[in-house]
Amino acid sequence: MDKNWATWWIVVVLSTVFTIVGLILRIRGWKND
Amino acid sequence: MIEASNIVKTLLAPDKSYALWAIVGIGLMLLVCITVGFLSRKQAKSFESFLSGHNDIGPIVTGLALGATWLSGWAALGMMGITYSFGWSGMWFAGIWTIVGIMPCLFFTGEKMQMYSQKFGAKTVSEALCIRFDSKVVQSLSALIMIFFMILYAVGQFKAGATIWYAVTKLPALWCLLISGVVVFIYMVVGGYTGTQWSLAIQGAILGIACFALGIVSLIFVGGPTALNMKLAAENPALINLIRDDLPKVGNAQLFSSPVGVLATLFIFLTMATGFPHNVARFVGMKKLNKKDFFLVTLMVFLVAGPPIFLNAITGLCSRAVFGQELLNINPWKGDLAAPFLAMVAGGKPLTILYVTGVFAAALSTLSAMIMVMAGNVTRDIIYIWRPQTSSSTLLKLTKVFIGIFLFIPFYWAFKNTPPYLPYLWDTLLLGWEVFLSFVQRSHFIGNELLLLGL
Repeated sequence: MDKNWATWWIVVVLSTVFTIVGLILRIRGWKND
Repeated sequence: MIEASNIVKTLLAPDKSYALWAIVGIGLMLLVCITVGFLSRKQAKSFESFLSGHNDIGPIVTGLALGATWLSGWAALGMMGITYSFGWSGMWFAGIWTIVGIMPCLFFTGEKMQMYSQKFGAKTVSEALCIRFDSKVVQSLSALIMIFFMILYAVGQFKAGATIWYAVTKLPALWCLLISGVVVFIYMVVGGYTGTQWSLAIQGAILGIACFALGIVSLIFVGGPTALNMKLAAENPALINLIRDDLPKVGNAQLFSSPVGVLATLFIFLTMATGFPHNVARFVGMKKLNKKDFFLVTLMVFLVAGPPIFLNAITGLCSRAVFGQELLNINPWKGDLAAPFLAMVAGGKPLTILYVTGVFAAALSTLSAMIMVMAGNVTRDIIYIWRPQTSSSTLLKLTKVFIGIFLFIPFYWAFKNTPPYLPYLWDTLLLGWEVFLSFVQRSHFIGNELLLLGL
């Protein structure tokens, strides 16, 4: 039964990582604007 | 489920005190928004500043407003109904991909829009497309496409307001929605883009806090994560499956019953949010960003569109654990009652009123953002572009008239003939993809349209 919560947490964590990585990439490329 | 049916019977009985407090909650939110509208009236004196402000709106307001426009009445109400009805397998369609959807809008499309606005003076999304493709035809054609799809989507916002109002107050929704519509009209007409953007930001903060609070309280109410799953499994073991093998693999259940359907939910969210014109339009009046500003916008969007929406799926599951399938027997609302009824049972009046106000904030924010886009579509992207000699004051007056018209049409439609909600979602996700594709380098407008027709 815990695999449901594990999956939910994985999606939540991956979404957070997606946001952080996207933000870092965007800010690193800032000087090119 | 005798106990659950008794609870539901109690909830269906009229309780006038809820009506009073719902009026107070929604009324306060509307009062703040209308005040903001009047405070912004100096920013909306000319036709151009009415449509896009003065490129001076900061990252916190922009981020909160983007979260609010992305999250519709469906996000704050319908998502819980999905997991209530289908169990854990509903999670995929019930907003779990929210961040995957909205962040590309911020990182790619929104940032492009801000650039078109700053460098070339684009006042609408369609005008940015005109600059991008160097074509007035593209500007007007895209404006017409946006109006066609968004007016359908707007009906769903009034429907969400009607559902939550009835669920909590047991009173007919006509007057509540009529007054809400009038208030939205006033703050939009008085405050223009700037007033609307600030109202959106306030609504975004309210809906984020409301959904987050309801999710946490719901989970505590059912006894925590393990107890939730045990209760669901006791009713029907299929409710805890991440993919419902027992449901038909094709048709409406496909999003919950097959790996292909589940994968499709990811693309649905990705295509919807990335280029929704009312999302992209949040960057029209934004000030020039630095790195710190960009971090703040991202943080605000994450706070509103992230954790609160992840928890919406859990709220629906908690509702199933508490009510069993009792709510599915209540026509025509069924699963849409999952969150409001759970709020009443688990959180009492304070949480219910916060949540009702949150749903109204979600619905009105999406509605007002779309209406501002549609009104600008008519006056800037169709009338002004083909008849540039039209005076600025006439265009300003016309924009205000069209705000009224575009508010009235979905309002009338929602009450006269309430169509099902989901088909609008399919239509509008194509619209989102259209705008996104149009901002991609080397893309061709006609090619994009043909691709979407194929889809």
